[in-house]
Amino acid sequence: MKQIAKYKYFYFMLIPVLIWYAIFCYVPMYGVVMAFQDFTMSKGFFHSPFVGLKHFEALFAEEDFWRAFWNTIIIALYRLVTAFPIPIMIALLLNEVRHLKFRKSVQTIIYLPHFISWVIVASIFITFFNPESGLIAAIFKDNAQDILTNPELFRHVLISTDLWKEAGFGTVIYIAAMAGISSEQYEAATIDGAGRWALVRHVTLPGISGVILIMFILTIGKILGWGFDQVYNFYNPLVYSTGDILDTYIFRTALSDSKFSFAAAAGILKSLICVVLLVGANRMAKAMGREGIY
Amino acid sequence: MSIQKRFSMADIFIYLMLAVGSLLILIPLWRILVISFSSQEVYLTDTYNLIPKSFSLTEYKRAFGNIGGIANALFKTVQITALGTALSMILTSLGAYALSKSDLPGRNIIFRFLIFTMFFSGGLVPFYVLVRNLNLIDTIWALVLPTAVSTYNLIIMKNYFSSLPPSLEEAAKIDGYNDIQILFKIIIPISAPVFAAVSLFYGVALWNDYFLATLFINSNDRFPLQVILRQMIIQDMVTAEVGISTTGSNMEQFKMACIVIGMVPVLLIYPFVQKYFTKGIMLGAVKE
Amino acid sequence: MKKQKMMTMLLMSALLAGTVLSGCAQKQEPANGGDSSKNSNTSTPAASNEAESSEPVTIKWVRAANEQDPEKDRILLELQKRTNTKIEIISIPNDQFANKVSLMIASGEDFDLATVDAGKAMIEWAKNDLIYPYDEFLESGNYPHLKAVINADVYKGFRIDGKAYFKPLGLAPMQWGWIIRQDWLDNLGLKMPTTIEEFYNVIKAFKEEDPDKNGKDDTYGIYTRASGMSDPSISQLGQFINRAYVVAGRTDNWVTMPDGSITRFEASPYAKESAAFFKKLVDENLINKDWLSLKPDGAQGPESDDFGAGKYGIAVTSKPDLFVQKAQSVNPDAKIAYLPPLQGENGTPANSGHSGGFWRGTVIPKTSKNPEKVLELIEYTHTKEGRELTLFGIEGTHFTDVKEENGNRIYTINEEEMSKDWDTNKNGFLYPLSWGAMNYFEYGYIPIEENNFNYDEAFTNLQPWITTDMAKGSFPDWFAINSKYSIAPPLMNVFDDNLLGDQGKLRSAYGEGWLKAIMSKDFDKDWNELQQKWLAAGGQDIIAYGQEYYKTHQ
Repeated sequence: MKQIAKYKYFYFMLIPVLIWYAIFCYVPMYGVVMAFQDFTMSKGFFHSPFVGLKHFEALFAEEDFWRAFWNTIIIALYRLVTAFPIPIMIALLLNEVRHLKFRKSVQTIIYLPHFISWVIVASIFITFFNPESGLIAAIFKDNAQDILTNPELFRHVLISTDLWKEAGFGTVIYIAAMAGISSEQYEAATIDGAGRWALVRHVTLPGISGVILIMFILTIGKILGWGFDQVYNFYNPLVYSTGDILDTYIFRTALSDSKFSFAAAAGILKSLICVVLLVGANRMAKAMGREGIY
Repeated sequence: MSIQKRFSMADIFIYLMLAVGSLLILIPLWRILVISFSSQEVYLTDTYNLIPKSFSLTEYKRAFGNIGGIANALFKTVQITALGTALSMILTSLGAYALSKSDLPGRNIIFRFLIFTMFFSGGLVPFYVLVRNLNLIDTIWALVLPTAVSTYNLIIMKNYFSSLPPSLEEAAKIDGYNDIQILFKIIIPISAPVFAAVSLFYGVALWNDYFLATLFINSNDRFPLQVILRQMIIQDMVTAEVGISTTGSNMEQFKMACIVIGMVPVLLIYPFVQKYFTKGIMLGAVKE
Repeated sequence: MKKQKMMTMLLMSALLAGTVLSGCAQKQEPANGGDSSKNSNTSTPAASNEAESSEPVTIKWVRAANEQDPEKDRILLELQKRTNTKIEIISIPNDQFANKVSLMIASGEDFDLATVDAGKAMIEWAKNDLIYPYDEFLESGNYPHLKAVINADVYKGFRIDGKAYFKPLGLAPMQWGWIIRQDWLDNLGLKMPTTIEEFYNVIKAFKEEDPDKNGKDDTYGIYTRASGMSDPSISQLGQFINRAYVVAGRTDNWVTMPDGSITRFEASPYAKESAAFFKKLVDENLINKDWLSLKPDGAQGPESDDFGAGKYGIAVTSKPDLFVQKAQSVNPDAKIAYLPPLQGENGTPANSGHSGGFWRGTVIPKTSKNPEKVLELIEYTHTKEGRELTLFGIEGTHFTDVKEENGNRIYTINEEEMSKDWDTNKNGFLYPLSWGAMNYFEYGYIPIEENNFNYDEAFTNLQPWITTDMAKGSFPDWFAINSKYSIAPPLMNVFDDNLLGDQGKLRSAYGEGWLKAIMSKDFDKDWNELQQKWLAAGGQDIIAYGQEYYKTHQ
């Protein structure tokens, strides 16, 4: 009791946020039952018949589901090794720039594409890659190929356009973290004779390592939820073999026919995998002696 | 920190990398700008549209003259972003600060209770019913309340707070501050960069949102900018698969003008946020 | 320590339970609302009689991608005055439309009228008593136009358990038509193609023989785009070719075999022949190379740009004037002509696409307080007077003169006045409510009354309503020719779950297989693979069911 009294102010601070979670996240949670029902909008959650694991079994029986499943994982991993570290590198590079004007301009430019939606980004790049009239055509002339219909290149297209759009914005959190490192640490290290590279290694990186770790765990947690908007706007049937992900597969085959339960089952499956990944990553962080996210 | 004047090889490499990167990002954006200001004849005959050869305001006049009004939508968006960011920051920072106390009884359970929602949700239908039952439909609150807290941002803030040295708070306690006073007088002032970053995340999400607005806003004159722009840009795509035409001809040039209109306010506001990202270093430099 | 944990947990769960309960209590509301509206169902006709008074009746109308403001737009104001209504529009962007309407109907939100897609969701609303059947209202004889539409032969498959819940928006048999660069044909000394062979020869000549005589190899034959479509074979070009081989050929349609039996197009030999032809176009680079990475859209931006720039010579469009305008802004001498449907392989004229005669349709939810008034409003928009208002606006303001000529009704329009009420750059000089609202299709009128309220007959006799500008070229014939060659396939508009099957899955399987075969080195092998996959994905069952259904119902 004493403990609680001691922390009473903290509980006051928590009350609003907890109420928010209860209302906006937990009240609607009853919708989860949909995955175990033959849900129809008009019967609602309370009158749709329960069918157990039928929709999960139907998913597992689909050949195309498995293709989408593996594509999702492969693309997610590809993103993890590119889209995750590159913003850190950019932030480190920016941190080395001493001309404030140059630095601010670069920051502003690279963060702009974040504000363009994928529909537009896709149409911009499609015109660029256009083998008829785009830059590709200008460079390769008659040998120009439509790289957007080549299954072998499709994943690279996804990753590079994702970098174009999001890498700049991804630096924000690291730049903020670097701004929090006190300049005394740099001074002390410089006095000890540290060179530039040593400063990065021994001051900057350790200073943001906490943030990097958190971002890594969070990224892993949402890794499978990535990319619907992007893939949907770039793909076509020729690249299903490498580019069709779970979300696009469900959208194409289930949502257009209002198969809500089927889609919900796939969603739950995805969430389960994400939870396992997140818990794993967190355990790993703790085993390494770092603080995880919880 | 002594500022080196001379340009080393490393510097050349760094500047070059950043310049090339910025250029790669800039070219497509530049092309959008050029197309949006080109006259129709020039746009049709120029293959690459990278060098401005004509100047025409036709598409901009059309966008702003549009019945429905971009100016009104822009004002709505500013309102939503301001109100939403303020609300989100209050909820998130209070929660994050409390949860950063590792010895707070019940903390772990509460935290798992929050993390659970990152993965599982009831889906769209119950969510819609909830917002409707709270009587928020067609009000600004429907756009700011349902997404007011992002667990992701809360974790980032919580982690920042827990990385602060406990000595700060202990000193304040001795001065007779209570925990709420400590938060406002000690913690927030030294947390400018993370506050700026997280507000930026919230603000940008609110600025870019069109999904909640299409779901919960019914009246044309209450739509935020993104919905109006999106409507101008892509409204025809969905029905195309049915094999019929819809309204009219939203031409490429018009689309480009709409994109530019959507980005200019962002360009104007960012420098104000950016200030806080360099503050820590600037402060240090001044101390020197 | 443990105790305290327990305490906090208790506290939290109490908090949680409280909010959940209050949430549930609120949840009851829509259910009750739904019930009460069901009960009041029987009393509404009486209630609407009282509404005969002069007070305008509020009608909340759910519409996709609306841009008009009922309080400012002069035409909507006039419509409200003439029908004694007060229209409120709930506007939903196109891409979220289906989602939101479903949510609104399922959660019992009150509104009076929605323009929605026919499909599984609509069938469900009907079966669960969430929308009104029209039949009882029509008995009064107050709505002869609506009655004619709803009871038309072409829409008879729409009935759900014997009742009509859906008023289709009459759609001209084909909005889309093909245009061709006449000056290119002249340059090369070619005639207008009439068969699929000649069509191929023209395309090839447009690619290889420098049709614009500029001495450069910078043209290709024909344009199409199909990205983002789960089934790229239903691009306009794909359908155009299909139909040279079989009547009504396209995915999801049924076709008649020589022996009189029916089967699905996908499994028919015609699909294969047509795919082989398409493959030839792709292999010989006669199509724009980016056809698979560009999404089709109703706005027809890039294709009109490229057509305008003279990069290719045959295009499909629903906006010929746009293409003409762009081509002539680049080359004032450009001549563009209409390319009529081809002769089919077996001698019969290749038909143009039959949409089933409708696009979306109007439904009236049970939450509507005044369904009779809603019907009155829709009825009015189907009369000649109402159609004129919603197509060209107010006489004396938006158009000044009307004359009848060669079966066309030609309007002298006032462009300046029109652009005060809507975005004419985007919608052209045609009021936006003319499409997808109460009626559908541009520049035309279905003379229902003139044909003694026989909709099917009226449908084949539709009258082009055009502007003076359009009357100049050869385009007025567009609808007339298209409607002549448009033939409805068997089992059209029959909405039966077993007949439709798992549409999304089937279409995706066919689309992927079709494309693979088109791009493949071994067409026959990939085509056989596609057939097996499609049949196994449910195609076999549908065909069996459909053939049985056809026997018993025909």
